[in-house]
Amino acid sequence: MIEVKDVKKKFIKNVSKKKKIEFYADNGITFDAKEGEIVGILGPNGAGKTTLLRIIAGIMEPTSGEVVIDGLTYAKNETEIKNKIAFLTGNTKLYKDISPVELLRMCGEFYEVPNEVLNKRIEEIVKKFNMESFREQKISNLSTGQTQRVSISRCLVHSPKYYIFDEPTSGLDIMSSQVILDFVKEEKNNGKCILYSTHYMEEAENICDRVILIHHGEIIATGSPKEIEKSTKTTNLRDAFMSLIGGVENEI
Amino acid sequence: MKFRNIFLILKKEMRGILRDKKSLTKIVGLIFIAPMFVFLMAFLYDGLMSGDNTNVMGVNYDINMNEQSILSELNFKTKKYNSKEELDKAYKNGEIDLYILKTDNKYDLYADTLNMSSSAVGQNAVAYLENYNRFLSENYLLSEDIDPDDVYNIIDYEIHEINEENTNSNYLANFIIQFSLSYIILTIASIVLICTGDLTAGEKERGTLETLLTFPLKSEEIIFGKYLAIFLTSLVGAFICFALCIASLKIVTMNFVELFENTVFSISLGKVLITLVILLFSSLILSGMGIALASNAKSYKEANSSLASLNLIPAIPMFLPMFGIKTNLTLSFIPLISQGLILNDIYSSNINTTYLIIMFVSSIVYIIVLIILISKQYKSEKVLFSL
Repeated sequence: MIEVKDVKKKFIKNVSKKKKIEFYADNGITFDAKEGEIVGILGPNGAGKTTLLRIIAGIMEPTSGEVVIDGLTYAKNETEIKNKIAFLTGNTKLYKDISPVELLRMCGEFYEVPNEVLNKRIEEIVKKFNMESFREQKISNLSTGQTQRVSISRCLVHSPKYYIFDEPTSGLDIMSSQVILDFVKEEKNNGKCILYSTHYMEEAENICDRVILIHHGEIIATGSPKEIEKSTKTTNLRDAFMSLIGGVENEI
Repeated sequence: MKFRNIFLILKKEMRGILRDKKSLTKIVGLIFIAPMFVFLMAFLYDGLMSGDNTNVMGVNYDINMNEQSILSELNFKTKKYNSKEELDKAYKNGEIDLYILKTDNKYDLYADTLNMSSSAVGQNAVAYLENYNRFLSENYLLSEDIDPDDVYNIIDYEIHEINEENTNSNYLANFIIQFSLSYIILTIASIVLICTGDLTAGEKERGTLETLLTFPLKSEEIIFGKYLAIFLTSLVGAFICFALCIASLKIVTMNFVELFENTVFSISLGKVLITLVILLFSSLILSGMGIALASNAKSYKEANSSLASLNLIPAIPMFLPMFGIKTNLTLSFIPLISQGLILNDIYSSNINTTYLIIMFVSSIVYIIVLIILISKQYKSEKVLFSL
């Protein structure tokens, strides 16, 4: 289980040469996510989603609060936790001069997957994602759809228990997005826990069991999409979010 | 810190460098310019030294057989004119390089002493006058039944060469090596520039650094792996460059250039070893400086702008000797400048052990400081995420 306990992250921004301002990208975020559950982290750009996911993935340190995964903390068990997690962001590109199989092998080596297990797992992944025809081609020569499959496949190489997806469908066409959404549903059915950040409310509504709405670094609502819609007397998450923040006018 | 993880990052980065055709072409191109540089310099020197050096001297008097013999040895041809006005006009028209106006026993030499090549011709003209004066003096002494040696050679002296490597050809070869080594350090800086931008800011720009950080790797392991990849690429480039320079000089001295005919170019093992160690230090320092400069950049383009200054530092030692600045205590402490100057000293057989030790010790200190600096940089979220 992933437990996020009162996580705060403070940044200092240089407004001008002399003036600096402090602000909280995340301000007291608390929630948990269990195995076999897709938890959507929703909010507009700048809400604090990416910072929160980076903290959960252990690549950023919180200013205060802590993340506990299966009873372990980053302060004491960083390697063990990272071996349980796969992190994928929509903005990440892949190394262009290597082949999908070389990428899988490289990731497996980083996770210290034993060689025999790794070889077997690579073959399974190649088959699962239909990568046989381009398995030895350079990634730079692959189509967007093929690249997307390689991106997801590298998350599987160490059989993670938890997936953290940060806007994975951002900028993708319907077909490429569907590959990711299918994968997320399948892994959920396999009992994995998935944290799924997006600003596409409809997408979250379709796949998430539970959503956490974040605005200005704070949780403004949590629950299943239906529960949130019911409590805000709306028919979809987009309207529910607008209702919770008091409308666009309130923001501008 | 796990060495296995550092090795995995090193492997990943080396694969990236070797498979990036654009970068690899640039690196190979830089390395293979070095032997061309050696051939070019050797041929240039040969052209300068074996060219037609005969100078024309204007005179207003008849040249006798004895004078002619001295002038021939000094590569002088003479042209006779009747007056100073005619000599002056001939000089201005470029018909003669200088002229001598003789009145009774007084010889007045007219030459452009500020012009370097004209000044060298002037020294030869002075040599002609001194030799002729000596010839006349010796003749006079003989006519008075005095042995000229009793007047001119009261003491006996001989000059002995104490540096076995100081044959004329070795002097020129060492001079070419000095320039080549400055080029090699510039090559190291250029290779660092080619690799560092992509390995640091480029990886941030692509978002792959964020992915790397999600693996069970420590930021120190990532940066040391990258540091080693840049260092090894630049070092291998520098060693190949050095080997090619030595091989080219061997070829030049054996076959092609008239200036080196019948001479054997040799370089001691000690010199080679010290050179390799200095190149190793230069690579370590430049790689560290490259990462430190590029890490704060948000994009590959910005990193390359930050790194451009790195190429200028190793060029400085090439110009210092032109201003009469030699290795001293202060310069021995300055990284990259000290390496360049001491390499020059080694090949002009003018090495000062104290400066050499200071350079080695200070280099080690700089390398340690740079490693601490870049490992701290890679712990900073501001650097890692370009915040």
